[in-house]
Formats: sequence, C-alpha cells, structure tokens
Amino acid sequence: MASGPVRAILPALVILSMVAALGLVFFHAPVEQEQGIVQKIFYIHVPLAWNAFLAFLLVFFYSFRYLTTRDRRYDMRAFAAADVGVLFTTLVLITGPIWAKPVWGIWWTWDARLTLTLVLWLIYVAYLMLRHYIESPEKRATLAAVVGIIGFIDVPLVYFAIRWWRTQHPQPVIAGGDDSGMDPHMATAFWACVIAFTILLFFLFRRRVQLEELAESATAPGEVE
Amino acid sequence: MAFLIAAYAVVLVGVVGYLVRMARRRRELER
Repeated sequence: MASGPVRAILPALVILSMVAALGLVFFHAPVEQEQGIVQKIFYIHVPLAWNAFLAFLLVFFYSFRYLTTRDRRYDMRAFAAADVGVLFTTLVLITGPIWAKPVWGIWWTWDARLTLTLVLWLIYVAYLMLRHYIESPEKRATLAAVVGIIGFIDVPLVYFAIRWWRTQHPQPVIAGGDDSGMDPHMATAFWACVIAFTILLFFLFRRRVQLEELAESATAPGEVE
Repeated sequence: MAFLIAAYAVVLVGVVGYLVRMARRRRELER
C-alpha cells in the first residue's frame, strides 16, 4: 500500500474531518422539531451504514479479483474490508436501537430493513469465522472469496428495503423522491459526516491491510512484497 | 440527551477499541 506522505496525512485528515463534521452537526445544523436533539444520531448512524456498504463493496471487488488472479494481496484486502465493514455494521446495529427507543418507543422490531441489516452483519461475521477456522491459506482465500461475493447480495436488499416494503424504519431522506429531503444546514452537516466517515473507513482499511501484510511476512517470510 | 451521548460514545469506543486491538496485534507480530 502507498506509504510516506499518506501515512502522515491520513490520520490528521481523519481527525480534522471528524472535528469539522461534529462542529457542523452541533453548531450549524438545527435541532429537528419533532424528535429534538436525539435526531442528531442520524449524522453518525446513516454515514456508518453507507460506509459499511462501501466496505462490503470492497470485499466483493477484491474477492472477485482474487478468484481471477489468485493473488494473495487481494485476499488480504478483502479480509481487511470485511473486518472494518463488520465494525461499522456493529455500530449501526447499536446506534439504531439507541435512536429508536426515544423515537419509536421500542429498541427493535423485525421489519425488513432492520432484519436484513442483522442478516448482513451475520453474513460477514460468518465470513470472518470461516477465515478463522480454515487453516489452508489457498482454501481459506477461495471459500472466503465465494462468501464475500455471494454475501454482497444482501447489501442492495438492505438499501432498497425501505423503498420496496412498508417498514417501521423511516422512508429515505436522501434520494427518496419528491417527498424526501432535508434542511440545507442539515444536509451540509450530513454530507460532512459522510466524507469524514469515508476517510475513517479508508484509514482503518489501510491500517488493517498493513497488519495483514505484517502477519503474512511473519509467518511466511519472502512471500509478500 | 442521554441517548444522544450514548450513541456517540458507542461509536467512539468502537473505533478506538478497534485501533487499540490492531496496535496490540501489531506489537505481538513485531516482537
């Protein structure tokens, strides 16, 4: 992976973008009229979910690349993306109920969006467990790549669940048609959070890949460039 | 307000915890 300036700039960029995004959330975006201050969970919940989707898209891409090239570096990248994707999905599944309780009066309901998100989390936890229990590196990489590709089917299902079915989860605010949209100040804060969490995703992904490369070189010196 | 703080705290703890876990693993590998 690229090193040098990126190594120094990326952590600083994570901190700066997060501070700027939080400043916009708490000092620029207005307090929502119906839900009150708790609505500000939206600014972390949705960007985390979108970036979890992006992480699983990376798993899909690198898994496909591994199967076509058999290059272990792609397998490591797929694993790193899945690991960060599971972290982000876990945070989505915790922040969602924390937001739901004061707004809906319940922590959880088995509607299509929530259930499919839980299924998504389970698929990629299974992906990580599969990798943990298979010892042969080639067999592990191949089976994991297949799961990484098939598992991605759930991502569009999660995204479109609120458009296809009637759900307890709110209808889309972004790209949801004529009835969707938000206050321009809220939109500024929201997109700043999306950018900040995307930078965080790539920072964590990059660190995770480096760790895998280190682990690989520790167990089989000379195999990894 | 408590729910808001809880949600932001969960994200902070989750991300920092993940970084700490990676740093520990790195130290183990470098040893």
